[in-house]
Amino acid sequence: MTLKKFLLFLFAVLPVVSAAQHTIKHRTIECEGNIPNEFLTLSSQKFESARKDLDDKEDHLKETKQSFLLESSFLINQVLGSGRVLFNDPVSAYLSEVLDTILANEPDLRSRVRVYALRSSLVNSFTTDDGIILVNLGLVAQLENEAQLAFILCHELVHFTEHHVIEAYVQNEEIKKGQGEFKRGSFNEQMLAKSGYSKGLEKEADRLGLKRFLNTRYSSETIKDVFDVMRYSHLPFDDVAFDKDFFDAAYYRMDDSYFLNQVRPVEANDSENPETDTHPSPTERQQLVNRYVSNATPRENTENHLVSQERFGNIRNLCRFELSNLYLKSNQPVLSIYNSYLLGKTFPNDPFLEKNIGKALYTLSKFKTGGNYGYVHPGFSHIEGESQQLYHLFYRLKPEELCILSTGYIWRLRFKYPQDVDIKAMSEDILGDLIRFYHTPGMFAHERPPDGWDTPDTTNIRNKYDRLKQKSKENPRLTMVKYALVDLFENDTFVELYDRLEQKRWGGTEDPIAKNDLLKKSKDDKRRWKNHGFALGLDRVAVVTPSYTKLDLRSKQQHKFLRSESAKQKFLRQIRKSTEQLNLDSRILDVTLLDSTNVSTFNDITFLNEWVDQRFLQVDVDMINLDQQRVDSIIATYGTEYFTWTGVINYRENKPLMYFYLLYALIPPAIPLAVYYLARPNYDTYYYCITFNLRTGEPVLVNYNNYRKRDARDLMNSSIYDSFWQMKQKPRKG
Amino acid sequence: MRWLTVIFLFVVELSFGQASGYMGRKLLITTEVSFFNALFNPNHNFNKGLNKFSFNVRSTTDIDHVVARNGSVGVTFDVFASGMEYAWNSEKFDELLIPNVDARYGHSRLTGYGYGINYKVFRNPARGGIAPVGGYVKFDLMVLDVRLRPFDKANDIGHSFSDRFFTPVVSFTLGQQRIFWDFLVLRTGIQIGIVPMGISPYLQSLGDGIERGDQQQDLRAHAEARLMTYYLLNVNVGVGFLLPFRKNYRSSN
Repeated sequence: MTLKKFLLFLFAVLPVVSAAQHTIKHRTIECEGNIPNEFLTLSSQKFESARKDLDDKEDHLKETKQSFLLESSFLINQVLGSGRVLFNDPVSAYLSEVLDTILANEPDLRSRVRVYALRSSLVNSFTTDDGIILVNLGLVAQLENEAQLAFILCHELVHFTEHHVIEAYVQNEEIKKGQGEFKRGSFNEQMLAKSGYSKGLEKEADRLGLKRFLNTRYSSETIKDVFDVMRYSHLPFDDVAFDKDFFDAAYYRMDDSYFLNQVRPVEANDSENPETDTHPSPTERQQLVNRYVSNATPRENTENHLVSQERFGNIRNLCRFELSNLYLKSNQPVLSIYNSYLLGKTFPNDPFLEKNIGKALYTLSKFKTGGNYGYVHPGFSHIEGESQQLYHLFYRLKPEELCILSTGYIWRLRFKYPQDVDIKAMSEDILGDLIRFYHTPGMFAHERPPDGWDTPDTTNIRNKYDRLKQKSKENPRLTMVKYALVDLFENDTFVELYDRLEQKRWGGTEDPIAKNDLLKKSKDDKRRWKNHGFALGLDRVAVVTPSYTKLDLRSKQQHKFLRSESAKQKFLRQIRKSTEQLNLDSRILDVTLLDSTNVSTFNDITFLNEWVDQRFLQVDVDMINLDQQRVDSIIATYGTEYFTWTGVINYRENKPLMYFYLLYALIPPAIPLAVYYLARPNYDTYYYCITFNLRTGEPVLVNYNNYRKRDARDLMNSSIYDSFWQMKQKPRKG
Repeated sequence: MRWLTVIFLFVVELSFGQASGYMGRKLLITTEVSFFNALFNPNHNFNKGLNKFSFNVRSTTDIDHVVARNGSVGVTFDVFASGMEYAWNSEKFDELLIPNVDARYGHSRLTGYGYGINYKVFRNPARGGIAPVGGYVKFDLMVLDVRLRPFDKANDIGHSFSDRFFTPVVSFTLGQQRIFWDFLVLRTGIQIGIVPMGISPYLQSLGDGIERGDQQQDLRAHAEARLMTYYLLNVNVGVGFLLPFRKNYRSSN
């Protein structure tokens, strides 16, 4: 290669490399590789194996410990199977490497501990008694360096090595039972005792964790700042003033009146409730750690990053990107916008962030139009810091203004990313809303305004009308409504759709349906459903995570874990039997049925469960799928658009109104009835089956049966078969 | 035969309706026993009253076909037997229906068959009533083929005379139907029935007593009044099975 060619190559490549440094092609963090065994093992098996270990030991608290093992085996499995725990992903892999570094000299302990990232925006981490450490993405997003992460892992390791989880459980049970020293304690004293014990364990974890930490080469310089992370854990990962012109476009200007002059000051979360808090206050812990560090022997060659500073930065950014996603999925679109805005400072024009803001605006507009705004906007007065500006803005914007803002933003995104199917679908839907709910003829200017359209000219005022005309240029409706979409009207696709929708809205092409006809149709549908069901005419369906919960509300351990798991296995068999008999091609998507190589199915299950959680709210406000690309790929994988969520909840409780039955007993002819009521156990069983058309997001079958009886085999079989029969059944004509 | 064909066509027509049945099976055959204490009227052994602990019993066989998610149609076949008190009084009638019958024959035995059709409406599917499982209300329309024979209770001798007539019955039942081991049907219920022709004589019997035309008319009026009380209130318990016994499944993974 000649020098000239080399230089040309260098000039061509350099800008790309430098741009790449600030570009993350983010996609949702998902599990990768093989599924670890502990995700696939049944809870009952885990419990049996843990119980065997316990049986070998002499212990007067064996019974309490057994009930702990039972409860924890099932609850941990629930978390592992929920898809929120990530494995073999970049974050978990990095956490494992940090743990490797900490436990480099303790291979035995290392082999007993696993660390996973948890898809949660909360700033927290947990340890289980069987050695699983879960670190929330929200926590990693807030840390400043690897040493702080290492300190947190050391703290969690102590919870495991010192069996804090089971000890706390046993202690709480003793307090509840009023055993030993707690025999005469009042409720408040018991609460204090519980809280005090838990704080004691936390302090021990800090002390021993720090001791372990000081044995590593991590620098202790910044670990005291970990407690600042806790103090401000209620805030986003940064607190930067929101640019008032962030949403401004060609002729769109956000009026100043929508912004606060001053945001609510930030307060450290440092108060301590002696009765309920499980952790000592951050200040107390910080002082404790400072004291230990200052008393420790000085160390040399310590560093803030032992694995890699660059890796830490990348992983933290990954977590911060994922937060935008998580906030959106947990119905916090305003926080999602602010998080994306913060990231946008470092990663300008990032498609993921821009699209995320588009989705959040779409969500806000839909909920404001639909009248359920409280689900996605908690108000602004209690919000601290700069993000309050956004909360205030979205609180003040009228539904019409929010819809216009969202329409403009999403359509501009569409022009920027024309291939994106999600943006395309959102843009068409939001424009539909704008025309259907807020449009009036002549509402929007289609052509660019003349020069000086928004600047009052006071030089040539002849009369009061001139003055009023000039003053009207200051009306915010000019910039936020009239000229808000002018640039969009220069695009043929937009104009074509706008005209079509406008014609439909005002041109009388929509057939008016008489109210009586609607009522009659509704009655007919109800009767048809009662007699013949939904009749979907499907050939293939996927059943996602069937669930079975058995409760006994009369007993101390209300959730009957073992019976629930065995009932679930029967439930799965019955679903399979029913669909086979109906010749309905079905696929059951459940973590317990996967093998270790099915990670893509595991991810699909996670996506589908998150999707349906959101969907229940979104259906009410007529929202479309926000992740149509992923939905389409899942539909292609399973060969069906129809996904079913089904389950059973069965519980037994004490009989209410005992006096009522006693009254029966006092009336001689009603004695047999009273005996029957008294002898009959009080069960309640709920069976549900909901089928969604994944492509449209609409629920197409909703079966909800309630029996005031136990979950007898014939009732369950009948309900299960009937649901799938309705899916298979061809619709009747007429 | 003609009406059987009509019922058959009716059932076939309705069978094209959309119904899931129990695991795909829609045909049930059940036999039930309906009974109630013979408090005020004699049973087929002419015992009555609480101290005798005597019951009026009737057996019913149903063939039901599930035709909708909340309903089934069926045919009913009843076999009944009961008794009534009837005084053969020569002073009351110019000529007795049976010559030479005397006061020993103070009872009559009512036996016979009932043929009918029924429709069961199961409780709203959302309340767990997916036919054929769950709570139901059954409407029955039957024709009774009644045979009536005077009886000498003391000597346990029946007279050679027998009268036969037909009368309709309308009844409805509140019941529960459950299925065990995927084939065995168990049913319980409370039935209320009305014999329309028996309403007027029954009301008369509560007042001045029944008195109708010639003796045959009077006898039948008494019988219908008795059938009215016989069908009025019953508790029933039934057992049966689903058809076909076993469904073949394609395969199981």
